[in-house]
Amino acid sequence: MSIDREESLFLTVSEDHRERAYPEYILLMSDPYRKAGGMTAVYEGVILGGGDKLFGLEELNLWLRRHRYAAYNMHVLLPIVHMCLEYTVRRRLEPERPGIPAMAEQAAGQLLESDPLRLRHSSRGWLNIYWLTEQFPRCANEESRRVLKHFTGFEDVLQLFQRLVRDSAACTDARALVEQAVLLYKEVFTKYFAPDHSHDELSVFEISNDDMWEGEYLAPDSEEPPEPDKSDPALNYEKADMAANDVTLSEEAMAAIPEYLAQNFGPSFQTEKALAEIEHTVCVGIHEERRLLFTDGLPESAYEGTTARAGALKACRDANLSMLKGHEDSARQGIRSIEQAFQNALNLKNDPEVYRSDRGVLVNSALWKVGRCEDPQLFHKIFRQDQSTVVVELLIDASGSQSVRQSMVALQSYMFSAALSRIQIPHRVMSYCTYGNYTVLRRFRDYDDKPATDRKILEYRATSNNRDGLALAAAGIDLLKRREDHKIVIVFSDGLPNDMVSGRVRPDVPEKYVGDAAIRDTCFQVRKLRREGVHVIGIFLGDDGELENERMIYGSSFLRIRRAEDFGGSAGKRLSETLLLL
Amino acid sequence: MREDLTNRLNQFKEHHCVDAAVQGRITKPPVDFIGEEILELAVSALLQGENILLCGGKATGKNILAENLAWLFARPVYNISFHVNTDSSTLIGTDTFVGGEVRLRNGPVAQAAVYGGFCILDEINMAKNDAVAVLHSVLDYRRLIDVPGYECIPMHPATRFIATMNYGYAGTRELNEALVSRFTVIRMPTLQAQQLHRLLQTDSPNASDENIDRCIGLFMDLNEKAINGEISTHPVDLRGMITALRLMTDGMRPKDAVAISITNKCFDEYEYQLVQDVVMTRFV
Repeated sequence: MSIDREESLFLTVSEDHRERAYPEYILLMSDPYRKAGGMTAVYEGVILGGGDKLFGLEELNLWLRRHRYAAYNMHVLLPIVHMCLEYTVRRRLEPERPGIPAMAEQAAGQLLESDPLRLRHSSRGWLNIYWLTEQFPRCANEESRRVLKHFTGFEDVLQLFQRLVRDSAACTDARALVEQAVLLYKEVFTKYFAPDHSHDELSVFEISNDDMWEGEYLAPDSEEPPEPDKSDPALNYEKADMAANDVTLSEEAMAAIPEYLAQNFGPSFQTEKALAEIEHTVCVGIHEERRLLFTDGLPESAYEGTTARAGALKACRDANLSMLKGHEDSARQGIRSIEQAFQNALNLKNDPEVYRSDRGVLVNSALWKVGRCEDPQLFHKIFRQDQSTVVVELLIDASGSQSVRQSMVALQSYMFSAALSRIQIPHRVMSYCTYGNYTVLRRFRDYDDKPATDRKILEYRATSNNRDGLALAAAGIDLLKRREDHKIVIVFSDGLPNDMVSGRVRPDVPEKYVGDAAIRDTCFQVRKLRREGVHVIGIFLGDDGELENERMIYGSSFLRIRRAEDFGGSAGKRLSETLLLL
Repeated sequence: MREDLTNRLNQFKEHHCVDAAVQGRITKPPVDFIGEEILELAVSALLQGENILLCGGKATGKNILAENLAWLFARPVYNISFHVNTDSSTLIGTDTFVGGEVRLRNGPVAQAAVYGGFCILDEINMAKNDAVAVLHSVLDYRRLIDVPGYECIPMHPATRFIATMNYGYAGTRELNEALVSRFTVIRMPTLQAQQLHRLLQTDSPNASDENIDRCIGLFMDLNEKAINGEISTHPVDLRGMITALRLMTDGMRPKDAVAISITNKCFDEYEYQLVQDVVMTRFV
């Protein structure tokens, strides 16, 4: 489970920490507020959590659905229910959570200031503004005061409105709350205020799972379709966020993926049973229904022949090999210097420190001092250092964005791995990328493989998307089974997790693996591993704009490099520092 | 506590007088342990000559119970905090040179053996299993320490060992069977709101009920989050909560007191935000 601030507060305030999705109408009701971001979104977690605690969201959803069948305009009713729910939660939970009104005030300030819900654009929205300024007079600004002037002469209606909203705080169950909102709907909103036709659109509330409606989803899309950017094969975060709505693989394309993967990446090294177990453990939440492929790569025969595929594969490997050949001397030097850094760190970590002391292990050669010196210090006090063992996992992002520097990444990873082999630290090197529903983990060398296997890293190939969170979770399973005392994961990536080709679209799992959702999931997977005692180090090669998010994901165990050429040395340096801190 | 246990406890104290040299090690713990049932379990086991292993999460009162037991039995306390480099010499002792000859300088375990002390082995699962193997003969029926080159040190009949461990911490290990079999194990339950209230009230008698309830509410929220894997156990810090309450009672703004005692201890930005949000709902 990966959570953001809003969900975190929802779970805490509802006092029910089971992972669960919001029911349909609750989701529709709160969506605009959650999308508003900032304190409005955070406070939405409190409202929904409080709603769940006081009334039960399922119960509320049930009564909302009944009113939808009774032909109520849900565009009007849902915001009213939200207003009543917010007021009820604020009033009823204030005794135990006195900070809630202050949060509500901040959220109201944001709503009035930037008007993300477009309240100023309709007379019914003005009522919302009136309510917010009445509840939080300090948040009122020039614009809202101007809007409130429209209500001159409507004092009686406003009084009725206030009384009805305030009465909602006394509602004891979901039905009473919804009925109170319905009263507002009938007595105030539809009676005195005209509908807002200025932004008419096809109602999303007309389309519901309950309707068994099988047509195409015609929800309005206010966002402009993304501009194609052919110059850069790797879409950046913002572009991906927009594009994600559109890139969906057809069923035929999905069906062809396993065969494609087998031909391009190689067969799985996991048994079906083991793979099913791993998928059952890690393909949950945002990764639900995703698949994994653990492979050792293609056999040598795949690189031979005259087919286009064999040619492409061979060209890729040859480019990596020629990079190694071209830099053979510097690579040898690089390996030696990384090895030396490790060796120094290990020596510092493992060598016992010996002090002269008045107790400890007797030093015979110092016995002559007895009776001759005042403080003879006849003993050695030995402070034994940590002799614990270490295992390292190197995960390399093999998404398409790496293709421009593929050979350099391969060379640097090879150097790093070779240095670890020379000082006999067990380590595994895997690359990860995502194709449709499948996240491919290509294993170049296993923990206890011989040093000669390091050269397999030169088969590294960069293509497609990256689902960092799933790759981390899947790699963590084997790592956690290792007997070594300290487990270290190094993730080398050149950008944010991003799986914009989302495979099958599932209406009940709306989140795509881009932007915030992807960052949140990766954050969560990193912390999950850390909680189990794994040290996770992120090495990042990317733009300044993404730096903050990378820092959020990896915290202080994070290193930014400017050039792929720095990867081997930097990873070695950061690993040496980590070894010393163990 | 049950009357029969109290009687037997008194008999125990009468039977086993404490050497004047270690009287200073018998100290009243800062707070009483709250949890009658667990206390009775532990006292019964110790009266039977058993050593106990207190196993439980953060802020369940393991160390407070251990110190309370030593106080109830009126025995001197020897405290050892285990770490990854704990070895036999840390526990039993090392050579030293006194009066012209090499002698054993007793470590805490040997001293507890000599004076009939209660030896508290804190976070026993932080050390390596082979390092604590020297304790096997101390903990089982043999009840002696055999230090190579010296005479055996037999255990004083009142000597007991109370180990504590937190299973989930990073850096901890599984205890091996040989060691666990030498203890009776008590699983420490999580403190309930009512128990926490008593605890905080005892610690800060001048604190307002409102502030105590807010602190408890926050502690329970964070604990639930940690149990459900939403945050780490770092912010679930009862010591920090006690400090916050003291600071509030002393006049600091509640929000600031919580910030410096709890929230700012999250050095991870992601976790900091989640904790900060929960704090925001509880404190103005």
